[in-house]
Amino acid sequence: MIVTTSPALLSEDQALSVVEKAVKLSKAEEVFVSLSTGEESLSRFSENQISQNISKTVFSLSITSYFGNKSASAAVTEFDEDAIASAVKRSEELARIAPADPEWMPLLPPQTYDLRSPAFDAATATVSPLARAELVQQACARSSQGGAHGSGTLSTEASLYAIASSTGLHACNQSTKADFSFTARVEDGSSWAQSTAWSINELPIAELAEQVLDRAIASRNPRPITPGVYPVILEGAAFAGLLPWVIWGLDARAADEGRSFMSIADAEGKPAGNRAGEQLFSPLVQVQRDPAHPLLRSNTFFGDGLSNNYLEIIKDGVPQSLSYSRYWAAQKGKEAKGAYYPIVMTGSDQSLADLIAQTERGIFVSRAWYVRYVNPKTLEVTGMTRDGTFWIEDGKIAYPIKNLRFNQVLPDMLRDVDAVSAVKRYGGSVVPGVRVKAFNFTSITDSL
Amino acid sequence: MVQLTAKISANELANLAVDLIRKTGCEYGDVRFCSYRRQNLYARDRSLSQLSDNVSSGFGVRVLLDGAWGFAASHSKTPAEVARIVALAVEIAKGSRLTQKEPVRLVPVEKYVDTYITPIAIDPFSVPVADKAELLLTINEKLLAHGAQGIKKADSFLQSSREDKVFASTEGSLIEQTIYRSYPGFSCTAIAGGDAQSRSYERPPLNIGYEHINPDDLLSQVERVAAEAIEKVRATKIPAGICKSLILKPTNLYLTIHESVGHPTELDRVYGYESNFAGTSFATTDKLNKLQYAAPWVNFKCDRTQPGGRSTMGYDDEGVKSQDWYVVKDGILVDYLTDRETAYRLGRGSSNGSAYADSWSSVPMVRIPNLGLEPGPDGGSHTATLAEMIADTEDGILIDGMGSYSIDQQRRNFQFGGDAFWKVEKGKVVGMLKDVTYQAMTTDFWNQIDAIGPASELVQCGTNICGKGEPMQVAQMTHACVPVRVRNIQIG
Repeated sequence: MIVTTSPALLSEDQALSVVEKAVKLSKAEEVFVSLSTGEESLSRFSENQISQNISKTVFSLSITSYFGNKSASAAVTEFDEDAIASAVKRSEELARIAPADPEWMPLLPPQTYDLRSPAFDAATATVSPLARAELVQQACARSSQGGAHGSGTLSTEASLYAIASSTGLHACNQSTKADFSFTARVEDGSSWAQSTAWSINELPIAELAEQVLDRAIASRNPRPITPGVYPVILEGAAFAGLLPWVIWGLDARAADEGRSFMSIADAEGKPAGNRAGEQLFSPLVQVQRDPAHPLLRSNTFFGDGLSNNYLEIIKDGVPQSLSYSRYWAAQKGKEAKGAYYPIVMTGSDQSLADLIAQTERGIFVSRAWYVRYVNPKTLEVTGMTRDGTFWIEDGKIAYPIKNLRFNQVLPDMLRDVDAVSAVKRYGGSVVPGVRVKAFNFTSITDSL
Repeated sequence: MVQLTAKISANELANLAVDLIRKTGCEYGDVRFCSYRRQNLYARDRSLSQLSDNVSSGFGVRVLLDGAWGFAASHSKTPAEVARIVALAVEIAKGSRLTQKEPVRLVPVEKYVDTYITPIAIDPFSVPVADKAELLLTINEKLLAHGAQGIKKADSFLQSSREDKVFASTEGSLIEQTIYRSYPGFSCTAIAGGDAQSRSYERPPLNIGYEHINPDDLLSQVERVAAEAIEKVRATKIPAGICKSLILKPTNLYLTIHESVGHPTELDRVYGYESNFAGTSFATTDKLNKLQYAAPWVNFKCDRTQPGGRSTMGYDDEGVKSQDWYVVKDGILVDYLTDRETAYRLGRGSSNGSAYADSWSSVPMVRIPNLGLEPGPDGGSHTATLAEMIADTEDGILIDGMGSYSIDQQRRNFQFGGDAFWKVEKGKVVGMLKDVTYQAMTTDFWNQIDAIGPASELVQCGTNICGKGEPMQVAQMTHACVPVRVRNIQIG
């Protein structure tokens, strides 16, 4: 007997049928149901051979029941009638005994979403383990030829998210994603790059592998430099590890309560509003929420049912508005517009090479690693450079340098942006590379 | 045990999976059927912002075909899906085989048919949810009662979980385990003078029942935590770049152990399996039994059998029996954390049982087990109580709790913060500081330890958010430790 190995992905109609069934089973005053399912595969390689290779079929159904201003949730990973009924019942039992919530908000009424569909590529959803391995094999072979220790991942994902509620919310998105990342280590040199797309056929695997190998070779024999404040060019991948921290920091409640860099304090040091609308950053900083961006084509709604549509977040260096939860928006007379995700920052038609050519001296950073808060209030973070750090002299990459720790106040980084390059997609964000006039490096490491 | 339906049990499906794997010609295979029940309560200010009781269940099949791995998993626990997933795992292994240079080999493991259950006094799921919610909201109310002094934000949480898993392998093991976990804590934020500073308290994450929650203890800490947050927001900063003696409480030190001893000694990491993401390690195998990792009076020991440890269980996720071993003995690097694959590469005859998968849908990999700093021996030349360390320090900083943390990709250069800081002058604690971080290189730091607390000051601190791997897996472990003093460390 031949056993099929193909996943049986739920269709949109099937998924909506499951969430509607859960809504109908509910005896609560109100109910919100979400369903997440999909097929995720990942081939991981190190030392130029696959070391881990997986596929998983996942499913989760979550039910939140409401009795007046009391609520609770329960989730299961099965979707037979008994499992759904049991989860509905469990959430209702918990909601009945939950304390009244002073921050309770009524469920959303039906919402209007963009008419577009997220990108769903059938070839990505159904790529076979063998086809995936053949692509990895090519990267490993090229890495071996280049004398490198190659490691990385190739992953694909087909996912579906559906919601329904007793107030008539009803939505479903299907999407696909593919990602390739590659690290090459040659002697004491190292380089890394990542590419994310909505189709496996959009990944420039061979081209990316070549770039990484070239940079790994160029990064050998790094020299030490004295830590300090330097101009810096952050490649898009490095910048994509820093910009989201600022966007997360645009939370209205944290700002209004005096807990963020967006807070205003009065003469006595007490919270006195927020800095939305102020010229905080360089005019080159233009950030939008743009799920319809051609490199993303992502979901049309958020998990709570709010629309995920185009929104100006930072325009000409001025934060246009802060991100309000529904409760905080109601308190402040504002509109809740959903999460500030996905992040898209406007770039230019300049290449990174153009930015380097215009730089007298500074540091080129390929990747920002292990970034964490030092001070959540000021949005100072620490982190390390990694996988290719170079000294720039007279408009050229002069030589590789040892990796550095940075302690940087991120709003200051955005204030000091003086050039941007063309954009690329990194994970869930689309950002350019940037040049920053002053960036604070505090120590050095021999680690490559 | 994992209960599926009245008709078919996890054990029966596990045996079916093993039978099917045996028929594929794979040299090895295993299956884990797991069910995770997680009950989480979070309170923010006067709102119980989350009350959830979620169950995730499914199974994962791992096969080794001609020295190449394949893994597949599904939430759907039926005989037909078991057959599909076994076949898919084999197809995946065939893909892996394409790139193979060195076939994977495993050290042997004994066959076990056994059961393990976390010893608990009170089942966390038997305690009324209303009581748990009331505890959190009471804590927050007491914190917010200090609003006039500056406390403007209160958060509290209570996490309980039960993990049931059945492991079966083609080598004949059939192991059933039930792991209970409990974890409560709270924090508050003081706002004054244009600044915001937080202070927190937790009873560390442990494998234990609801007896760990101890409402009396949590409530007894509220006033102190609020007062310290209020003092902290008005405290002074210390200039960066100077060097000081640090006295680190276990609540701070555990994370330094985790990042600078735990991760660098994961053998898969040493061999480059994590190069693309988490990084590699400076503690390469040529340094084994040679590297002066720490001062001679410093010993780090792993122990997956210690009562309550967050990674304590009967067996790891490859069916290797839990054990204890030294990683650093008398300051020297003497061992690593292994799974069956990496132990073979090191030339060992067995694994020390550090494999763990965070879900039924995750593949087992080397994870840090419970890894602790041994207390100083009674009467030891470098043994000192916390009070003695303070009394003996001319100019230093006392640090409590977890703050910022960052370390480079080979685990050398690190920078840590804390939750609370006090200036120590002429043998006395003289007031709070804020925004302190300390920077060091791993082996410099551990070699500059000059005082270690006694067994009476041992605390089972730990973490439940250790991330590693692609796709990311989240593991949890205890780092039991004592206070230490470390000399001449750079601030900021």
